[in-house]
Amino acid sequence: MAKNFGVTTEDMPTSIQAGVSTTEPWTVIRHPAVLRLSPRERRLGNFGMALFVISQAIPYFVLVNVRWMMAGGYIPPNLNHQLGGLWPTILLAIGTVLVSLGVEANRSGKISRLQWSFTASVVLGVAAIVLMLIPLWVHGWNTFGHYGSIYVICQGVAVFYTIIAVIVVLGVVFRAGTGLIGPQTSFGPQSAAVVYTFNAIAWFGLYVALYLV
Amino acid sequence: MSSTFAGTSESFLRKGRRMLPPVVRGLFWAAIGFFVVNTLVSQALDRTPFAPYVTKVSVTFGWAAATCGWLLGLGAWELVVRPYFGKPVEWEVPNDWRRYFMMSLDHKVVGLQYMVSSVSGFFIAGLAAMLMRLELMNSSLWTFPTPNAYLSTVGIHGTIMMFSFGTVMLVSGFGNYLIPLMIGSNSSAFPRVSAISQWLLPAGIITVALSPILGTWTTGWRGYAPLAEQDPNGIVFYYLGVFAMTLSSLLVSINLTATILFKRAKGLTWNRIPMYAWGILAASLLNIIWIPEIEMTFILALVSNVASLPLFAQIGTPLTYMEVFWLFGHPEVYIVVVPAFALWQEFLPVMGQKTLFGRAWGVLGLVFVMMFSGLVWAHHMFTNMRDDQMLPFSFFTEMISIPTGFAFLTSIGTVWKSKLRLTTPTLLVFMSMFNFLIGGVTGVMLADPVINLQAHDTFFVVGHFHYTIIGAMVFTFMAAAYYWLPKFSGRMYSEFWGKVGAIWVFVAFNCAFGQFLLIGLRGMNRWVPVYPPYLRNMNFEISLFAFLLGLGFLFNLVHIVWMWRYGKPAKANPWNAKTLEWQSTAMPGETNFNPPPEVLTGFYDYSDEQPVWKPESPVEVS
Amino acid sequence: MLDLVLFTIAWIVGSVLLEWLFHALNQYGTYFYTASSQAVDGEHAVAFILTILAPVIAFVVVMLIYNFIRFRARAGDTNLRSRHQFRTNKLFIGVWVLVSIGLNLLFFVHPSASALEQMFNSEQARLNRQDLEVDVVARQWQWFFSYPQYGISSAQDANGNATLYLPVNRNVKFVLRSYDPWHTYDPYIGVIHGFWIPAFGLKQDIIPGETRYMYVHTSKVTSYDVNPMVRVQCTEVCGPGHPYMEAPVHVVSAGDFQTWVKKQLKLQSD
Repeated sequence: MAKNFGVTTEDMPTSIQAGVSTTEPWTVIRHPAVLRLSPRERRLGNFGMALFVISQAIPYFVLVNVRWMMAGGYIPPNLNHQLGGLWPTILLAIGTVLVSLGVEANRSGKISRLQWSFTASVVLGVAAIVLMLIPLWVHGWNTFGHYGSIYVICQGVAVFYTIIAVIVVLGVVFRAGTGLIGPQTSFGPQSAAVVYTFNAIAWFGLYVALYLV
Repeated sequence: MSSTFAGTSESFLRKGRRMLPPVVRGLFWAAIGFFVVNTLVSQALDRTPFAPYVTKVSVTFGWAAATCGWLLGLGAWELVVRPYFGKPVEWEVPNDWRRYFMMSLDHKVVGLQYMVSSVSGFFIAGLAAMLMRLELMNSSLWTFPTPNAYLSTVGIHGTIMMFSFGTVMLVSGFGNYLIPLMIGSNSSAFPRVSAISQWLLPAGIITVALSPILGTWTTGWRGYAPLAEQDPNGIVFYYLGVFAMTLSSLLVSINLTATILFKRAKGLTWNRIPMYAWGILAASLLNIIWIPEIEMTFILALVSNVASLPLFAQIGTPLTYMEVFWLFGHPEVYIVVVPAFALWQEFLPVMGQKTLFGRAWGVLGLVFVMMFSGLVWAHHMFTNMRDDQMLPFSFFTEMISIPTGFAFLTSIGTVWKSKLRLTTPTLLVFMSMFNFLIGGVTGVMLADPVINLQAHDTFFVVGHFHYTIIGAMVFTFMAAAYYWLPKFSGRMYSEFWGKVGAIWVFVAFNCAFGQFLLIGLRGMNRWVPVYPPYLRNMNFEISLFAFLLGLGFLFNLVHIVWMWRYGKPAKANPWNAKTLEWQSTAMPGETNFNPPPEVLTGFYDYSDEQPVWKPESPVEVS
Repeated sequence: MLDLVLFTIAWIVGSVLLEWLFHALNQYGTYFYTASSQAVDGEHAVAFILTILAPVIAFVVVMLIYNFIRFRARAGDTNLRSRHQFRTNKLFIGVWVLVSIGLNLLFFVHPSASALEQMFNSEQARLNRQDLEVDVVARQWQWFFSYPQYGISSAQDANGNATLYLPVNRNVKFVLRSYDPWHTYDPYIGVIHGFWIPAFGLKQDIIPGETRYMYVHTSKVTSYDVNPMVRVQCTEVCGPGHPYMEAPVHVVSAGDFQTWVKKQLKLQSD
């Protein structure tokens, strides 16, 4: 990889590979944060994302499953599901629309539109996290009754995953800020949008299973 | 982006950047992470009466921070986090032993790192087993100060064996090293994923091994819930350690699945995929489905433990924990054993120099075992569940022996009329098949509810699953270690000492675990440091054989390590194998194939001398 | 051809030897000591499975040994490859697949489903009206046995240890619960225990918050003093006291049982 030192992006190898020879005492791995992917590598990336999403959907199945086992448990007092459920759902839904608009904007080369919509969805995500945390913080604990602890846990899981999704989208905002994202490197925003959308859909499904069904 | 580096001088690159050695930096950042977050939680955010420095809550968050610090310090900071936020990747790898003590993008280095971590886990957990056997030599408490100490040891043994060795060695260790080689690729699909996941493994092993510092836990490796909620803080480290280790396997599985599907060399079509790659693919799909499941389960259990929620207490549903645990728990044993089956079919054609028999049936067997494995879990719960639920699970448990049998079918058909070279790997594969036969027969017996209701939770079951896991997986692992030693080290082991080691382990194993079956039938139940005196003589004898077994594993380890360093230099393809990994002489840090290979035919046909591959013709530079 | 004949002979010899070995083991009583009809069912199931599987086990083991010896590469043989190269053998694979499916279906029908049917039958309410009822309570880490039909609230021996007396040739219905009778209500205090009497051939886990039943038919006068497998043993790990959670069992004649009941009642009134 040392031989690639100082070359332009166009000549960069399309995937990150380990050292070429051991004659050098050091293998220096140095390249820009974002590489252009070949179509095959983009498919590989999509496949990896799909596996990731499939694997991360399974915890939600477990939660829904346990929630059915716990049928008869009540929703703990002050675990306000409008504040901590409905509003975050709406915010995340708007965020989902925004990230997909951002991905579209990026495809047609409008980087500033991408930055704007991704930043907005980060803000919405943070707002959703805060709204979810409020009822989690103030809800009534009763660990000696037939108590809906599964609701509390689901709320916590949703917060955790939303934090991850926000960080993922935030990374794209930063990279776009340093001019690394463009129509040629659409995988980054696209995969971040997948993570964000997945989180929104999974939370929506959980919300429906918890409070509405 | 060229301007970013334009000013850097060549000599600067040669020396590498100044930084702490990554392991030291990882430990340092982990310590900082733990102290900052633990202090914050236990002294400020969640202050409890008398403000103890370490509480269940604070240690959970502190551990998470420490693990993040550890990973970042080892290289995730440069390789993942900074690039993710737009900074260029800058990472220098010294081309000597130091490359093994940092995050590495070379799949061969990662494979070796995994093997070392995993074998360390094996011997740590093995030491725990030796302590258990020492205790059981006497029918009263004499080795351990309390029954809790014994039960913690049981839990540490089981947890570390399962999650750092059983699921890891063949998939993450050999898989990371060999799968890209076997499919003619120069790297795995997502090198940074494996680089991170390897370092989660030692973190997990250490977490579980040190769990008694926070208080002994009594549940064994399954962590059954209402009991776990009574346990002191040690149980928290059990959940967290398992979380780290399983996360490591999950990431590797995503990487290897993508590698097998996308990084195959030209001409390596679906019906030429190596058997081992099929095994890894099956095990990886199981990992991708079931590991998130068990992780969520453990998080539920951890939260209800830490926050004292009655989720799995008697006002919740105690049975739910068992169910979601075994929903993972049974696929888990196929994650362990499916790669081993695949390896039988990998080694026997080579050692017999004969075409693999019934290849399609071998692949079918692996795939159907994988698919059935999700349908049998409740046979672990015949004593907990309602009667009429037993029948379907009994049915599928018996049926899973059919695809399992296909592994025997292809292996036996392959060696029939072959020219079998009686090398150490051959011997170990045959031993492995014999052991798994016993494991399988006892398995068919246990699938029968009437027998199961009697033998459940006795040493009969313990004997059964050690036959399947040690018997099949560990023996096959040893075969693989001897088989690929020339590949890893360029040196050959001693055939004589290799066979001594194999026979030693085989005899000790069967004498120890054969008697497990019998002592189970005499009424020895599990998780007891103290038992009725009539079982003492037999236990005493089992312990002696168990120590012999432990020494046997140690002997093989010493032999392999010695030969790695001082063995006779081996030929590039000492077994005359056709698979691709032998066609490359690349050592860690070198490129596997340059130019990339083009596969011309399947790897398991020994009927002709045609070349299996040719170098891919260089692409025209326009 | 020669190989096939030689192997078949070795296989038959191996099967006969294995059949003899399993038969001898069964006669010797290698399966658990049996003192109830349920335990005898289990013993029969094991014997049946092993009898049928003996030729299968012999096939694989003899095959492994035969291959290992007969088809080894000889020293000094220059040609590495085997002369025989075949990918498949439809007959062998066909027989293998059909036999393995057939055997598994057979085992599912008998002994699995048939013995389970017996067990379901033994649990039907109409067959259990005359049962002796024993209330079993498991706490950490102790057993309590009470006999509501006789007014015995906690059966104990002279030293105050819990003990279980049962009349022979009688259906017994164990009512299994996990809680602490010495403690005020606490939802966190119950854990899972396992109720097992090795000589009775089955066990049942006791789940806190649930009531479970286990039915046995005692078939033999015996006791802990005769064989240590006639004991109650907790089999689900329940904390440090788990190994100590055992109690002796005595299966006695109907007359002796009545005498014991009177003694218990007297002990209780004192």
